[in-house]
Amino acid sequence: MKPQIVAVVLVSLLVVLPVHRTIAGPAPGTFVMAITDNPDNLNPYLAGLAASSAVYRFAFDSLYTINLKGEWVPALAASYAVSPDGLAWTFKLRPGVRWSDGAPLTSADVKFTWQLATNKDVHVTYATGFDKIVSIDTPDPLTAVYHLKEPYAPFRDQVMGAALVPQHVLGSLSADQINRAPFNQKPVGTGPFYVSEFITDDHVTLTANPQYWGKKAKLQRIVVRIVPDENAQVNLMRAGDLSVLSIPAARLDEVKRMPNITIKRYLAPTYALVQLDEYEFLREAPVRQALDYATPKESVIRNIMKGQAEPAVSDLVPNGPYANKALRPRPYDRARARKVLLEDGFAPGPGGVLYKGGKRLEVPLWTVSGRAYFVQAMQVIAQSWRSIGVYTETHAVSAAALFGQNGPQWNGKDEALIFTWGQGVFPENKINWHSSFIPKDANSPGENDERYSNPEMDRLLEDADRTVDEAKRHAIYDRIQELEFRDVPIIFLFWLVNNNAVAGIVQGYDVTTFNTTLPEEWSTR
Amino acid sequence: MGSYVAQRGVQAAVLLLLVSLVGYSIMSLAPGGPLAVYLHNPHVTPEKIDLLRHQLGLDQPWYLRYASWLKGLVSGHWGYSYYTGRPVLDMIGERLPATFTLMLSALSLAIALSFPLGALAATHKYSWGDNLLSLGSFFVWAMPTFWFGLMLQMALAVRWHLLPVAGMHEIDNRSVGDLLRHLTMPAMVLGIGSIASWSRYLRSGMLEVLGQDYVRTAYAKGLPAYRVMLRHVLRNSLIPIVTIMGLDLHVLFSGAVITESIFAWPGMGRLFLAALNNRDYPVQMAGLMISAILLIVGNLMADLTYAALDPRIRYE
Repeated sequence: MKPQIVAVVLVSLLVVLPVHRTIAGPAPGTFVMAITDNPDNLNPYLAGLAASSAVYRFAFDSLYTINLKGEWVPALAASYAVSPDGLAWTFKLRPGVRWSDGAPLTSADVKFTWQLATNKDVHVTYATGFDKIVSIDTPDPLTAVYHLKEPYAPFRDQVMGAALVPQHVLGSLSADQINRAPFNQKPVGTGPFYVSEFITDDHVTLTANPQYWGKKAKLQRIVVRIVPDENAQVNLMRAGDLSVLSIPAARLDEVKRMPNITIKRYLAPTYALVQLDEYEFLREAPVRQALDYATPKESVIRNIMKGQAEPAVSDLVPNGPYANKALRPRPYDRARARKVLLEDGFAPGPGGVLYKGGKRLEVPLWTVSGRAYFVQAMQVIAQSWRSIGVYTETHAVSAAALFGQNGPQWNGKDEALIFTWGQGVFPENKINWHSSFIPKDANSPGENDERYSNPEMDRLLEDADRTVDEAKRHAIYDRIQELEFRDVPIIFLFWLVNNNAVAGIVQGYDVTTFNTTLPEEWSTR
Repeated sequence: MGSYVAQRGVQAAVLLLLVSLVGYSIMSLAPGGPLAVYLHNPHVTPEKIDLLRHQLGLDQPWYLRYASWLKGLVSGHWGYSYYTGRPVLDMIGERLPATFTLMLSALSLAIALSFPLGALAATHKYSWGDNLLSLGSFFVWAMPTFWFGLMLQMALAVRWHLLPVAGMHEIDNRSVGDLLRHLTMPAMVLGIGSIASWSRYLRSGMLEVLGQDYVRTAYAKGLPAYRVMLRHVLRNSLIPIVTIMGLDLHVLFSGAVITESIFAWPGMGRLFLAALNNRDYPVQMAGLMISAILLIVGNLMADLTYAALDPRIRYE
């Protein structure tokens, strides 16, 4: 045989033959995870990306925190009490808590956090709820009393669950200095770990905090690697370099087959939606309902999401405390969709497209390019809408182009946008559905981009924010969700399901919709 | 020669000014903006977005923003990133070691392999080695970088555990050996395209020269084959390949986005890609300027090398 043929055969054999080798995994005491983006800022109030909270969550604590079941449990505060009028919230801080640099945590830090969050000259990105606070009294180092302008039911979710930042580090800095402080890369917190190293676009190392007030962490450190490519992340997991990784649906089956890996499946508090920008025909509820009937959600979940999603009927996570369990998704029924449109006065015109008043029913679909499932879902939905007589073009563009000021939302025409939205577990729905949050033009603030307006909804949302009584608030939110379902301000597509692969050497790690187990309980053999 | 370089320098400055003006205006007119990323974050309230717009100076018209950016550029202050709040020069500075390591390795690998391969292919025309090389070159050109990178990863790292999957260092390991292990795959992926194209250019250049009379004369004089090859053939076939290398310089430097992403290499390409996606104008403009400068410098270097290679070329 010629030598070159021998070479080719040898190389082919090397590629085909399986190689068995034990996977070493990360060193004991080290927990390695991967995120896609570089964290922009590790100050919780200045961060804009989810990648940042994935890192700073280990370094900061809040007064109370949420456990795996979605219940509030004490953290930096030992207890709290609310005045009968709902205007004063008094927190008793846990004694003996120290910042990672050794300074004690006091009520001055609680007050400073509010001052930072509402400082107009700091590039603050997260301050919902803090604007309801009039003042904070600090009668002694371990007592903080929040005084509110008006009763504010989401106080716990927005303020009590938000990170505390240190006054002794940032308090003496000007706003401009805070915007550019080294703290933003290497923060000082009270969490079980502190940031000991941050190499941009490479990794962040969090070392166990010797000052930590809770149980001493079982791990020596957590390394968060920044790996932009999803496939490279899966390869890292397969090579044994990661302790835990969220697996993309497309590679789930392959990862499931790997030895020494368990998969934790959980519902993410993130839903996919079709936002219906109400300018012309989309202002009519029957048109929006018809589009909902003509949206094949089950098929998208089964075929595009490969079953890694669950049906959505409202914007409140179905296993959470506020979900309206009575609602069921509209069935996929194109005949009914068409009937609704015909009854609404539409009639078939040229090319089978529906017309009313000489105008064509035209609803273009848009989504973010780069995420395959968005683009595929868009094509499937467009196909179905066309089949009932809606003229639908499809566009996949960058997120900046989709949501930015020259984007489709601002052209004054009916448009439909597909994307995902992280509502969280507890409702603060005013910014989504209240008519006062409809943006007036591309440069004005407002989160109600679909331009939904309903006086009953406005009233319910205002009541919900003021109603501190839990049972009454639940009843209000049940009705809010009924309206969301009836009026279809947006089409709820599905809730995302995450699958976290966990290496066999990891113990004490679990994850639900609401939280993970405490990081100080995680360990590696 | 000195006056020629000075003249080219003035041309380059004018060109860079034009590039920056066109770049800045297009960037400002493009749909979306730096705040779009916040619009997608439920925690960022509309009032905050309004405030941020004012704080970042985005409520000014683009030409005013351009003027202040240009002033900063000339005075050596390239502004602050909209996202991290850090000085742009610092952000670029910390990427330089990783970027240079990867670029120079890929460059050395490409030079070290493409010249011998190209020369061998030319001297052994239509041998099985030459044919294999042709096939390999076309294969490399035809395959996408990300695919090749992932395949290498699957084979060398996941299957055989010969090399690390991604990153620049093992945790706790800052040794040169560890760096080289991490460098191998990205340098191969980044360099292989250059190896394929440069070796083809060299092969065809040498084949052309090999048929010349002076080569036959050199052989006839009784010169040893290696001297004919090095002094008469190789040197005379270098002009086209030097042009290509000059043009490739900025690609190796700023165009390594895909390689850097797949191998999680903390280089410049990822910084600029993220800036592009986030519309982080100060960082985006820095990337544009660096890429433009490298393209101009690469061309100038190629032109100057011509004179060194071919005594007939003189610059006055």
